[in-house]
Amino acid sequence: MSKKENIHLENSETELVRGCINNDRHLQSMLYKKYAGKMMTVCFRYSKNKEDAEDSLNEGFLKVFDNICSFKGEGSLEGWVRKIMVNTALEKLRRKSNLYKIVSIEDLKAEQLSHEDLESNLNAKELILLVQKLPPMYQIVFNLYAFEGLKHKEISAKLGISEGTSKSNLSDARTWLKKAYEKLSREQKILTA
Amino acid sequence: MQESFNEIDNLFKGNIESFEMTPSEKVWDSLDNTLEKRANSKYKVIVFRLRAALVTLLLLFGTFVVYHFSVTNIESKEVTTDKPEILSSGNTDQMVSITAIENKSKSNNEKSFNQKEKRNSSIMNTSSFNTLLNKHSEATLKKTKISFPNYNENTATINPKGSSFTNLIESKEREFIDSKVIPDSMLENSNLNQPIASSIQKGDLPDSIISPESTDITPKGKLIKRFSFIAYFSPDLTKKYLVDDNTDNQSQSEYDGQESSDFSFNTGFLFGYDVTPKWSIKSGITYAYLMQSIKPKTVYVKTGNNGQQYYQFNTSYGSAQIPSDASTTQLSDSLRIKTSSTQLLQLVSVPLIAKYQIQRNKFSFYGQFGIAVNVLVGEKLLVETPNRTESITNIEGLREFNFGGIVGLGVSYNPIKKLSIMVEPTFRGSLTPINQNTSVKSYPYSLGLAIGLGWHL
Repeated sequence: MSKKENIHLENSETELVRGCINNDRHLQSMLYKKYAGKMMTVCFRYSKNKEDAEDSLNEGFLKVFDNICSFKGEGSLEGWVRKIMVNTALEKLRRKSNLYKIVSIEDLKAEQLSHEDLESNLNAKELILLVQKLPPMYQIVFNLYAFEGLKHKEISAKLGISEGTSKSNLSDARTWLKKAYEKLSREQKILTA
Repeated sequence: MQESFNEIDNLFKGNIESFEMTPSEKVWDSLDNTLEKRANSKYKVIVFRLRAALVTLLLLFGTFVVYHFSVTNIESKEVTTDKPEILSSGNTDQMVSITAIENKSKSNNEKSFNQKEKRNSSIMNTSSFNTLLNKHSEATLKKTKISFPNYNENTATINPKGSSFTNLIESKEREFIDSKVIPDSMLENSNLNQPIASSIQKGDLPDSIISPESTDITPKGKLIKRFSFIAYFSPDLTKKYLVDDNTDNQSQSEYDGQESSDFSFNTGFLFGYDVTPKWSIKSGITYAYLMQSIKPKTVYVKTGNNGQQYYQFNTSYGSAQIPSDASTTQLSDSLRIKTSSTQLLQLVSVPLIAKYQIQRNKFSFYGQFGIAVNVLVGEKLLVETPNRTESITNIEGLREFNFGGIVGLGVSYNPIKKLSIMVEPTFRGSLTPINQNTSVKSYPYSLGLAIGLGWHL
């Protein structure tokens, strides 16, 4: 990206923030459109279904608009919005974690992963839905470690668990994902063959 | 093994990170609706504030009108003519011209008589004019207040040596700033509408006419005390009116069942100003201390925007964050608070109160009403967690200020002239909620018995 483009982006980001602080609906809509796709994926990773993900997205953007005056421009706006989305979705998942049925790998079937919205990107579709099928605590730890880049110390502080528990959960999550991925890959090959 | 795990991480991260999902349109629609509602509520708040400002202005204007009307009434009972009048000469050989001007600088220049002196003043007045006529061909009585207590209003005539005063004495009090006594010979050659440059000095008038004391005298001869200072203390019984806006599961009845009022009081210093003998206004600064206890309850974990987790303790006033003790204990989704918690609010108010009183000997009975701007100066929640007692001084959702109303009755007793002791059962209530952006709007109100001391200047 050229220097000129960078300056333009920075300016437009500043304008977006200013507009949102002034409750300019048009600029609020622009900010939403700019980040809704990426943030939906973030929320989807921390949710068990699309409805929950959309709830988190809605709640997260409300927090963004409510607190945007506290954005000091020290990091990227996207990073700041993403942090809010992660926290919002995380909170929702933790609150509802006991409501979700834990799926065993044996119960996983390739057909379960079909989703009309994701047909254009099969790899991403399969993988993201697999993350969703993880038991809640595994899902949280795996997301925080693999996607948010947090260390075990940070994860343990954030979740109020020991570092050992965090490591153990991550290891279990990876094992679960690996087995599930291999199983579904095999089944898909059979289905396509 | 580690390589295998890293591969899994990279496989998922690489594929999902750049992937974008399209949320359904209802997400933005819902956001748009919520933002629209909030914008409207902000508009309503602005409209409300404008209304409150208008009411305050009307109240101040009303007070001014009452004050102005009362002052005008009092002054209208004094002589208002400022044009020289030629008095009928009758059988006298001298003409007397008197300019009576209403007193425009009361506080500085008033001279008065006691009742005894007043009684004699009508006689002395006429005789003194004769005396003065002998001493001065023309004279001016400067800033001298003369009373005619025994005159009927609109009295037409005084007949010293046959001379008369007509249409001059309209009240029991008069002030003659310029009294010009002119011999006939001079009168014939002079224009009465022009001031005549000569004056009667203070020493020229009899002592009985000029009183050295300076006092406000009402038409009834009763002293008006203008300013007073009041200090009071009021133990209060505090309650609150809750309005549930149905955006959350926490309902009005839930808070009603959990929270009960505790020791509360109101105290302050006010200054009063007697606009009329019956109406007065009061303002000043007051301090309210509201305390409530909250029954044991379970609180749930939340994650803040900075990623920090805490337990959220909701009350009808707002919510407080109980920090998680994650370093020593594992954070669970809920925390049971096993003992009662205490919440207190401190408010400083600036009231504007109108008071109507009826005087009965040493007692005054009165009713009063007004408005107040309440500013939140302190908030605290004391919670006993399993590990320690938390004192949280930031309660989210509380407004920085709100408006309140005051209605009360009272009785005051004057053991001595300047001191009064007051007892006032008073109702204070919020006209606007004390909190915002909460599931339940709270309107605290209190009934108190104020005991006060007043000092009249």
